[in-house]
Amino acid sequence: MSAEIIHFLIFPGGLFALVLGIFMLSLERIVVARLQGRVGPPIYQNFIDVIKLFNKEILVPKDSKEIVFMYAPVLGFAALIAMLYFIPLPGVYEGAGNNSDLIILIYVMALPAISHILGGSASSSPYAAIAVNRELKLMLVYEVVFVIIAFSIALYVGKGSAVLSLKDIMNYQLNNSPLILDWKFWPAIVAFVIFVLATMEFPPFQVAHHNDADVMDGFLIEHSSIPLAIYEMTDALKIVLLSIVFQIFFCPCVIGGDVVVNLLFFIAKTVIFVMFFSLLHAIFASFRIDQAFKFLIIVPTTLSLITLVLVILSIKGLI
Amino acid sequence: MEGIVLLSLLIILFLKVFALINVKQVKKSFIIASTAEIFYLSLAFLGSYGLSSALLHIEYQFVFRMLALLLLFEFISFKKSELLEDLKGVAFNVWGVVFGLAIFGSLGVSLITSKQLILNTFSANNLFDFGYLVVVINLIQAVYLITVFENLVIKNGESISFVKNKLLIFLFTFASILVFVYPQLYLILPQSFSDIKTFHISFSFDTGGIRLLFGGLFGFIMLMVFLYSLDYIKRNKIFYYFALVVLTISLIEVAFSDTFESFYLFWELMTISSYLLIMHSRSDKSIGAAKIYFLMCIAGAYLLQLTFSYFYTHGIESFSEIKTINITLAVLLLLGFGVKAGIVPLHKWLPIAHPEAPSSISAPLSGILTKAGIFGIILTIYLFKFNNEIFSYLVIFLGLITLLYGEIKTLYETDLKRLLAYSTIGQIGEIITVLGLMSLSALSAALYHIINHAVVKDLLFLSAGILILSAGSRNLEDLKGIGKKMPFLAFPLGVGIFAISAFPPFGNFNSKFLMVYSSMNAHNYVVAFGLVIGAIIGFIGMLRVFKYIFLFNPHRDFEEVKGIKVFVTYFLAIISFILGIFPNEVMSFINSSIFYTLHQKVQLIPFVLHIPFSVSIMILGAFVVFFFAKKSVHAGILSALFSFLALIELSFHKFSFGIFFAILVVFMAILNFIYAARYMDHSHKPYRFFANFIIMIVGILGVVLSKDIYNMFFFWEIMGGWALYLALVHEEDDYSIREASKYLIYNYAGAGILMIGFSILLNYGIELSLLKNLTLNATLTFAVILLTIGFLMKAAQLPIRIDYQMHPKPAPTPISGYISSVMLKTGPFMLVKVFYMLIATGLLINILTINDIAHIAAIIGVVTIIMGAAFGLLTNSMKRLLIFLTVAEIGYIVAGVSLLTNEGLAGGLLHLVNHMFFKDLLFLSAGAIFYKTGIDNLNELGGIAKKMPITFGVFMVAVFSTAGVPMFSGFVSKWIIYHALMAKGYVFLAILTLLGSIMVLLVFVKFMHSAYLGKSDEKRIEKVDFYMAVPMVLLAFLNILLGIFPYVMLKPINFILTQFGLKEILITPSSITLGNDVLNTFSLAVFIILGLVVAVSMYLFKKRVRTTHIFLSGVRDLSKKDLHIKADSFYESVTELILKIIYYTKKVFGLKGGYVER
Repeated sequence: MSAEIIHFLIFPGGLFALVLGIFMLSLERIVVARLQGRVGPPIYQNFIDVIKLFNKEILVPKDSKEIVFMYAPVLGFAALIAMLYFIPLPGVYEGAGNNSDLIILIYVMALPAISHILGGSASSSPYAAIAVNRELKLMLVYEVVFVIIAFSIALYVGKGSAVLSLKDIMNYQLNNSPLILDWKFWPAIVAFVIFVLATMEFPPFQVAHHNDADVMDGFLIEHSSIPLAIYEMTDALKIVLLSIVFQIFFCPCVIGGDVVVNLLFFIAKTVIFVMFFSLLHAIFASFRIDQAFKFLIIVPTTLSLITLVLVILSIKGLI
Repeated sequence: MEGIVLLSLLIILFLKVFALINVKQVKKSFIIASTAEIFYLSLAFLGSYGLSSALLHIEYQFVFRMLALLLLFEFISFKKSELLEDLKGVAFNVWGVVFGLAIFGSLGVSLITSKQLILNTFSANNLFDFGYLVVVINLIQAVYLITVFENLVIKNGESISFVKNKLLIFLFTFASILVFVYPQLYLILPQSFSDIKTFHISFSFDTGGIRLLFGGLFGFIMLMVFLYSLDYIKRNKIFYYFALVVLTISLIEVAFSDTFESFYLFWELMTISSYLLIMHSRSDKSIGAAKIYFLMCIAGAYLLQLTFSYFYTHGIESFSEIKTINITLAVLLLLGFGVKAGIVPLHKWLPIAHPEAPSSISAPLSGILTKAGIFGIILTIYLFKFNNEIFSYLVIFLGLITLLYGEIKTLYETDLKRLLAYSTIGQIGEIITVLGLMSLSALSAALYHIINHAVVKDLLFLSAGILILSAGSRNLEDLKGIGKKMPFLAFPLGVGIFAISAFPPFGNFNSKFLMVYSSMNAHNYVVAFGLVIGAIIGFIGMLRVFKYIFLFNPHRDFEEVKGIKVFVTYFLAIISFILGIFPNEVMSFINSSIFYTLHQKVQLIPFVLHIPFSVSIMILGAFVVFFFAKKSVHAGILSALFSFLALIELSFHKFSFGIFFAILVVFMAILNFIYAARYMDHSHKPYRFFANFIIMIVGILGVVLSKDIYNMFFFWEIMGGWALYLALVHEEDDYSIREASKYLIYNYAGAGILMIGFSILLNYGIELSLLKNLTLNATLTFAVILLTIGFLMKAAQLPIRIDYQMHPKPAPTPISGYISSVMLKTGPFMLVKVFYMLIATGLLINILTINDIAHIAAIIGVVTIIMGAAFGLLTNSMKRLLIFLTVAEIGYIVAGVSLLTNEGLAGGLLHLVNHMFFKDLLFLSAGAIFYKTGIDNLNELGGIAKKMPITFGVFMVAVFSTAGVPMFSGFVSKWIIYHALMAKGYVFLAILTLLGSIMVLLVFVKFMHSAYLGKSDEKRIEKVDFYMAVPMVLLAFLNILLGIFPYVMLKPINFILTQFGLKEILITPSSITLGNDVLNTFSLAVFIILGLVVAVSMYLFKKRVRTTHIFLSGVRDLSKKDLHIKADSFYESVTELILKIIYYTKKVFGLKGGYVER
């Protein structure tokens, strides 16, 4: 029991993921700044941001549904922190042994968005309402992309009878070659990158928040202090979870059997993962929401479906 | 020789036509017409037999025509004019009776009819074709004589008071009467040339079997008509009752007579007496209508006479002596009887005569006179020994044409009585079609239907008569809303409408089921589908009447009507009810009469109604509520109480799939009743709403507890029938009437398809468990496909016209919620029974076939999910949105149970239960908003969360359950369903299902934001009270409980799996294991809650909370309304995409336009 609590609170979930995630967010800011010819914040910037927020007073808009406005962020945070406990970490952590299959992952990963939506909606700000609306539109498509990618992998790994367990998917690649080397999955990888951009709302999908041009901070516009800090932390957890998911899906590579080495390797991969997205963040301008929606419904969906079809064909022995 | 005869016949024809043309000159034309009879003497050229018959004919004609002529002279001298117009109504008194005797006598109504002898002469000389000419001559003469008769006797005018030449008239009257009483006197002369005594003069009656059945039916209905007439008929009573007595006697005797002679005599008397009765009002219109009736019927009768002549020359004098019959004669008989029965195209008299006749006469005209024609057709069919393909096809063809013609006509008719007449044509069509199958089971079914139709059509006409009396008009426009002002008077009409549309618990339901069964027994799909389609069309027509009478608002006053006649209609309604609930007794009676007559045994299908005890409790509850609960709160509490009693009763039963479902049904009923107790308190007639609501639940309970096909289908129709309709149209505005009617018609069509499917199964047995022993062949596969379609229709799948298949939005919310959450589940429930029982046989062929059917069902389910959710995104009405989502969510259930794996079934059933709880909760919370604000449009709502916290809380629980947030119930079932889908390899279905799930989430966010959150106007909205809060909170609790401990429900579901011979799924109190994947709901919940605790504990650091204004970039002049994002502004690009898809999909099917919000 105590081991479980430690796994949940300290490592690999909880504190570890949180700290890693917050540093990753800072890293992202730095890389983007450097690419844009700025200096950028120090690496601990996001860390002190969060601490600062805890010292602020909480502002609640007059017409908001106060309890929802205040406590909406906890839902996404709780879901992610629980998921980080259940999900395996390649070469480092076995996972909790249950609740670590694709379906649960899909549903849990939608929860941070739901808490954005609840919080934004409850704030009674029209900016937030518009942002919520946009976030959902994006979500409709990127979730489907994610589902198609996930099911393609499940089918491929199970050779036709779907394997939904994340651990089995991971082990399959450890025993065989990682899927990142399989040409059939390259469209899916591109689609996954687009999915991550969309779900983290990096440019070109920076339409629902941090969008200074129209809705400003979007669903976060009225949030301050602790709720905002929790949203920040949720983002940190999310980027770690996405990195883990990416690795489980495509490259759960490990170096030997040593946990510490593997952990370092995992962190290294995560850093590369984040830096790659920072690069994309820096070079893209943002879509308008309708452009983003159209792009998402056409490009990543098609790419992921290509992989799905290829997988089905290969299962049937046609390629 | 033939040439001379033909020539003289032509001369007769010419003279008759000449007389007819000059009918205005009564005296001259009558003499000419009478003289023409002499030319029959040319028959002497065909032998002595011809001479004898011609002599007899001339004797008869002399007597009658002299009498008529004598009276005519009297009339002419009284009126001092020879013109027909001037003589109008001169004889509406005793002299008219005498004159009528003369006229009808010369038309050939007599014992040993001389016309029959003439026809026999031709037949005997192989000149059968000449007979047709004689028929034409007779017909023309009939037109002439009837024209004279109606003008002189019936029409209004000054009557003659005394006659001068009394002695002669008396003499000839006496001679005329002798024709009937002592015809031997007239035979003296003809017999001196040849022996014409070879025919029976006396009557012989065959009294038993089918004849007794018809005789009894005729007698009973006429008794009802007498009772009804007692205070209905105010004028010309002697005339009326005299004719009515003659009609009654002749009707009964027609059924009983076996010899042609007596049959023909009473057949004619029946026609004449009914002809007189139609003219009872003596208006020109009614006289014209009666004339058409009489001429058509007498033409038919002449054809019968012609046919009889063939038999006579072969020495056959009665029906029972006929051994063989050829197709020509059969067709002649069919034509002769068909006129009376009203087969299209010989139906013309029905829509003309019915509106003009007094209602007390329309009733037997439709109810039993047509049946006399059918009686004749039945005779013809069993003369064929049920074996002649050509005749069978002919009858079926005519029957179907009649059926469709009649039913389609009802759609447009505005004259209530004419509409009912068209409905009669349709029903006759049904009966004829089924008789055309020429099998014993068809005969038995048709007889049952004849009885039912006679009773119900009489009920309809008699009841319509009362309403017409009260409103003073037959037009539906004028009768509008009479049922609202005069509920006591109109009630039997409502019963009649649903009875004739074959809803249980009325007799027609049983007979229609039997008719469809017998058509499937004969493997005749055309008949089966024809019957069902005809019934649907007919039902649309009858429903229209119901709407006019009961639902539309009255715009005028009606007079009170009292007396025995009202009770007669109630009595008939009770009879129809009795015929409905004792099918087995009625059928054994019918079958024994068939055995008596034909000495052949009909296989008895054991239609026995079993009413489970819990169902009886609920029925009792419905009565108690209807009669004693006048206030909404009392009605709601009483209903809940009876449901609770039923729940207790059910809990004593051994566990089974049915009991499991039944307990859920009753449990949900209790919650909805408690909720409705408050919800309905502003509405009218709560007792009616609650009683119908209970009856609907009775239907559901009956379905799930039934053991055989009959009971299942009986309750199925109760569930989706009148009770549901009445509860749905409770608001009685145009919108709810329209929507409820659409839904009822859709249900009716679905039930029709089921009826065919079940009819096929009935050929193999009646127990539902027989499915466990069936091997699927082509026919049975077809049956299973039909059943699948029917059940999917009930579950509102098959997205073709989603606005029809969805239950209507304007219904009161508690019943909407109940339909969504419980009633629609009977579709998947029965689907599970059929599918899993058939694959439990373990036969490969069954498994393969069902697999294919189920695959398609799963695809339909998934397409429905997407479609329902997509429409949910488009609509802005709170309730319609929820209904769309219901349709979508049931798609999950269907997709799950259609997988035919233990995981699929478990997931589907768990989702069924979960959906019950969360969808009902959603409806109840939406209803709470509607109750407090009166607004249904999401665009007009906003910020309710602050004012209705409980409602908002339970709403969020339901939303989380629906969207599948972990820890809430919907998540678990969806998890299982996805696993099952993927395990089965349906990856695309799985992806679409997940897409649907996200769309559902989108829909709810729209709902949540525009109704509960965002800005609101400063209206005063109160919290919900105890009655509404308790069910909602309880349901919310169940949603969370099942999200964390699905074991509670999965345990019984595992029992069900084993009952179907499937492997249990692996469950522990805290987890579910499918393959390698473990869903530990408990630990999931624990860790999420731990996460929540961690997150919430961060709030311990909170410094201060301050209320501020929102940031608006400095803009200050916006009202709260301006700041609220309305529902229809959500998701532009998504809705655009959906609208485009709808537009192009419609284009593919050749339809214009896009999504229409109905």
